Amino acid sequence: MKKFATLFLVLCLLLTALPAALAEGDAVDIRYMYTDDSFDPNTDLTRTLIQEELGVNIIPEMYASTDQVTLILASDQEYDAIKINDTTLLGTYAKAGTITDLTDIIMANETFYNMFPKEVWDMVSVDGRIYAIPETDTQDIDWGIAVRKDWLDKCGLSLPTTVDEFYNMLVAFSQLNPADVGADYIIPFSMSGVNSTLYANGLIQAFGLGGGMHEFVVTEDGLKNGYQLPGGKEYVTFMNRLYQEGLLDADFPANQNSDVVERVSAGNVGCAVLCVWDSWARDTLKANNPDAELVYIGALTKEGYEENGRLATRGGLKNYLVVPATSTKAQDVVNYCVGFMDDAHYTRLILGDKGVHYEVKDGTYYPIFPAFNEMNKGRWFYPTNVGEKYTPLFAVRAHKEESMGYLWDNLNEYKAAHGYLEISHLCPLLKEYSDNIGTLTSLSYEYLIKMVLSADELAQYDSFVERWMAAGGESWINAMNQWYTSTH
Amino acid sequence: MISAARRQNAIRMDRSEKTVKLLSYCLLILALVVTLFPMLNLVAKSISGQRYVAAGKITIIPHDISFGAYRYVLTASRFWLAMKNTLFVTIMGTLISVAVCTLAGYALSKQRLPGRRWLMLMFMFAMLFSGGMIPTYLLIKELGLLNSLWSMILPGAFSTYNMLLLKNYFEGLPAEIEESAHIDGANYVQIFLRIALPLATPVLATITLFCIVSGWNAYFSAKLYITKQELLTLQAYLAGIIFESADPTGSFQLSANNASGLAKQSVVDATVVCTMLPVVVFYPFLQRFLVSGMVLGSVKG
Repeated sequence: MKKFATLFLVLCLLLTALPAALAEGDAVDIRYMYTDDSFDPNTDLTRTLIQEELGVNIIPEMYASTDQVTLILASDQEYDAIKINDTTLLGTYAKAGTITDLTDIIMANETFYNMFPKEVWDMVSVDGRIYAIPETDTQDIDWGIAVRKDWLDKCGLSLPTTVDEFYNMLVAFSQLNPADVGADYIIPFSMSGVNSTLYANGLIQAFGLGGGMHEFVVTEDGLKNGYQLPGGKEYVTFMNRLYQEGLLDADFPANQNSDVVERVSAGNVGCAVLCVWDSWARDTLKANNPDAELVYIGALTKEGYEENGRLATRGGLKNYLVVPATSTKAQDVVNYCVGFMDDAHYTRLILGDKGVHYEVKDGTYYPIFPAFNEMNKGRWFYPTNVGEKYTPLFAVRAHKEESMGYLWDNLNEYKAAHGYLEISHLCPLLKEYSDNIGTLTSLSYEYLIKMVLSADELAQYDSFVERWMAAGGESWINAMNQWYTSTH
Repeated sequence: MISAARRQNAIRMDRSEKTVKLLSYCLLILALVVTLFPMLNLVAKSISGQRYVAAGKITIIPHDISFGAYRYVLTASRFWLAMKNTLFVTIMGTLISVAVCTLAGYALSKQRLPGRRWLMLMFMFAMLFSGGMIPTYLLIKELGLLNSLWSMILPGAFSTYNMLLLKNYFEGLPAEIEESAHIDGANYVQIFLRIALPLATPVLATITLFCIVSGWNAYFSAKLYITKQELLTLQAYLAGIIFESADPTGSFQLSANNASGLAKQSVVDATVVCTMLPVVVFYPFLQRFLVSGMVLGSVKG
C-alpha cells in the first residue's frame, strides 16, 4: 500500500511537471543581434508577442558598427542570428567560413523561398549558395519635390507636370514674390548638393534618366546610366541654367539635407527636394504661417524623352540575416523567419491588436495612440520582411504624426501611375562595382557640382564622362549589362 | 629732473603694461565668447519652441521657451540607466586607476627597487607600442570581459603617463622626510600612507581629474565591447540620439511620437546639455589643482 502511495505521488509530480517541461522544450532561445537603437529590447512588447505567437525567446543584443560584427564573427562568439545592411560584407563572411550556408534549409521550405524573387535570393548568395535571409524594403515613395501650394495659388499656377511648367513656376516664384519676404530672400528651388548625383525624384527622370546620374535605365541596347544617355548632359545643363538664373538655391553646393529642411521651415523656399520623414518642416511652416501648405509635384515629363514621367520608389534588399557558423540553431532561425511571415502571425507581430494598437479606415491602416507607442520599436525584431506585403501595414508608422502621414499619402498618390523600382536595387553585389564605386562616386560628387556652378566646367562634360568611364565606370556598366542579360 | 624723467618712464611703463593687459583681456574675452557661444547656442536651442529652432532662427537668445525637450530626456529610462553606468565606470575607474598608478609610481620612484630600470622599460614599451584594436578585443573576450562594465575600467586602469607624473613627483619629495619618519618607527606602508600621499595631494587631484574626464567620456570601448543596451554609457547613448536624429530614413521621427511638437535638434541639444552638465559643475572644484599638478613633478631640482 505504501509503495502504491509512493508511486502515485511520483506519478502526480511527474504529470504536474510535464506541461512546464513541454513548454520549456517548445520555447527556443535565439540570441539575436541588430544595430543599436534607443529603446529597451528586453521589455519591448514585440518581443513578448514573438514569444506568444511563435514560441521564440529572443535574447536581444545590439551592435554599434559592422566592424564590431566582423570582430564578433571572427572571434567565434556564439550568436544565432545577426541582421546586417552592408551587402559588401556578405561575400567576405561567407568565404571566411564565419556564417552558415542556409541553402538546404531554405530550399526545403518552398513557400518561404517563393516569397522573394530570384534576384533577391541572388543578392544574398555567394557562389550559388544562399548565406542569408533577405529583408526587402517597403514599396513606397519617400522623396519628391514639395512645392508651396499657397505660393502656386498666389501666382495663379497649377502643379507643374512638365519640365517647362516647372521652370516657369520657378521664374514666377522669383519674380512675383508670393511670400512677401522680398525677392532677395526667396529661394525658388532648394536641394542638397553635398554628396549628390543630382537626385531630384520626379525631375531627373523627365530627362529619360534613373534617379541620379549613376542609376541605370533599361533601353533597347541594354542598361545605360546617366552618363551614357543624352538626357544626362541636358539635365546637368538644365540645373546649371537654374543656378545661373538664380532659381536654384545659391547655397546648393554646401547644402546638407538639414539645411534644405531648415529653409523650407523658415518659409523662404518655393519648392525643394524633400523627404516625407522631414515632416517637421511642414509643422514649423504652418506654425509660423497657418496659410502655408506643402504638396508634392508628381513625375514631370519632357518632350523628346521616353522612359520619363517616373518617380523612384523604395524597394529591393534592405537588410539580411546571417547565422554565424558557431550557432547550432540555423533551422530554428529559419523557422522563426517562416513563422514571422506566416499570415496567422504576421499582422499581429507588426501592428499589435486591431482596435487596440491600430485601426483600418477605408482600407488604410492607422495607429491608435497611446497604445501604438508600445509597438513603436518593434521593427527592430523583424528577422525578415517582404516589402510588398509590409507596405500597407507600414502606413500605420507613416501616419504616426499628422504631417508625416499627410506628406506620405500625398506623395504616394503618384505611386500607382508613376512609381518604379530602380533596376540596380535588384542587382547582386558586383566586383566591378565594389572595386570602383568609391572613385566613381567621388568624381561625380566633385564634378557634377562644379558643372552646375560653372559654364566653363559644363563645357568639359564630355571629357569628364570619358574620365569617369576610364576610372572604372565602363567596367561597372559592362558588368551590369552581363548580369542583366543573364537574368532577363 | 631725474625724478621727473623716472616718473615719465614709469608712466610710459604703466601705459605699455596697460596696453598689454588690455590686449590680453580683449583676447581672453574673445576666446571666452568663442568658447561660450556654441554652448549658449546649444542651451538656447534646447529650450526654444520648434517653430524657431526648426526654422534656424535661434542664435543665443531663446524664443517661445519650453522645457519639453528636457522633460523628454529626463523621463527616458535609458538616460538614467546610461547615467548609472557612466557613474559606475567613472567612480570605479578613477579609484582603481589612481590606486594602481600611485602604487606603481611610488615604488618606481625608489632608486633601490630591484629591476627598476627593466620595469620602466616595460611600461614605456607598452605605452609606445600598444597591441592594437583586434588583439585587445580578443584579449578582452578571452578575459570574459565582453558585455561587462569592467571592460571599460580595467584595460585603461593603468596609465603609464599618469604613473610617470606621480613617480616624478614622489622623486621630488625630500628623502629626509621619509628617513626621519623611518627613524621615528614608521614602516613603509605608514610612510606611504601618512607621509607621501598627503604630500602628493596636488598631483593626485590632477590625475583624479584626468581619470574622471576619461571615465565620463568612455565611448569607444563602450561601442566596441558592449552589445547589451542596459550597459551602454552616456556618451554612447548620446551618440545614438545624434545619429538617429540625423538619419534621413526617419527612424527618429517614427519613434518620437511622445516628443511631437519638439524640434529634434532641441532633444539632441537637451541630451548634450544633460550629459555635460555634471562635468561642467564638477570641473571648477578640481580645476585649480590642474595647472599646479601638471607642472609638479615635471621639473626636478
